[in-house]
Amino acid sequence: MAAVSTNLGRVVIGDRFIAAASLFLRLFQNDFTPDVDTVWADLTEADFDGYTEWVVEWSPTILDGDVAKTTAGLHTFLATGGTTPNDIYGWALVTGVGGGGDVEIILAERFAGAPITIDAAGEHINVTVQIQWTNAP
Amino acid sequence: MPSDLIHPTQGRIYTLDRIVTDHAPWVILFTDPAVIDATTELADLTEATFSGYAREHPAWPAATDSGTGDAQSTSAFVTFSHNGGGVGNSIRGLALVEDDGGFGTHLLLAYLFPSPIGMNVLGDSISRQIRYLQGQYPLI
Repeated sequence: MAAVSTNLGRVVIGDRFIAAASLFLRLFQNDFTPDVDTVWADLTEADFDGYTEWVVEWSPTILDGDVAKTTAGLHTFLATGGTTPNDIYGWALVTGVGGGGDVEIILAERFAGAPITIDAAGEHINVTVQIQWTNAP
Repeated sequence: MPSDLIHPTQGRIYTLDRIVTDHAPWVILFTDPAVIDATTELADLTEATFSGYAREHPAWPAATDSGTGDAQSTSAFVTFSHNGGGVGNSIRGLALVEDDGGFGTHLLLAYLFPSPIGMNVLGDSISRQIRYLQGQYPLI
């Protein structure tokens, strides 16, 4: 039989993961669909007025049935003007600066219906990140 | 519709390093239970007691690409040997237990051998490497 990853063990894993280091949430503005080989150099970070990466604030991992869930609170990327408009295609969860001066991508997602145009104060994009730790099928 | 969320290979490697390489799990043998599932806890296991048995705490190398995009870290060999003493066991499986600065309280993984393995006399031994994979699995 396959090894079983236990529910409480996955909660431990989730909490270890978020305790290890700060992670950052970024938006990207190039027309790109991430895949397993994607690296940060493939993406162009957003730079619309008011944009800044977010240092992710995690809640402790919880167990929902047999799924351990590690969730960051909803974050709003809010534009403060329209001087530098962007078409935003997705988000990425990244590490801090790595040994090569680059960052590593933990997760990335292209928005359904991308792009989302941000070209005026008050326009915004909300992102919630949730990592689910489960047994492999 | 399927999610477009991607867990790139470099992210899998990072994640596995935080889970396994940074907190090398302990390896134990257990004699019971005969059935394990996701709700099994450390307290549900009866740890081996055969003569010569001791928990193992192997090194886990930094994760690497398995070649198929998954991250992998394979432990050093762990070998459990009977020393010829008077206590024998029938071993049902092997488990990984968290390291929290010492032997932890949470069971991470458990594995049942295809059939119990007798550890009763000098020369009986169980030797395994544990390969930990971090992949991307279908999302619903």
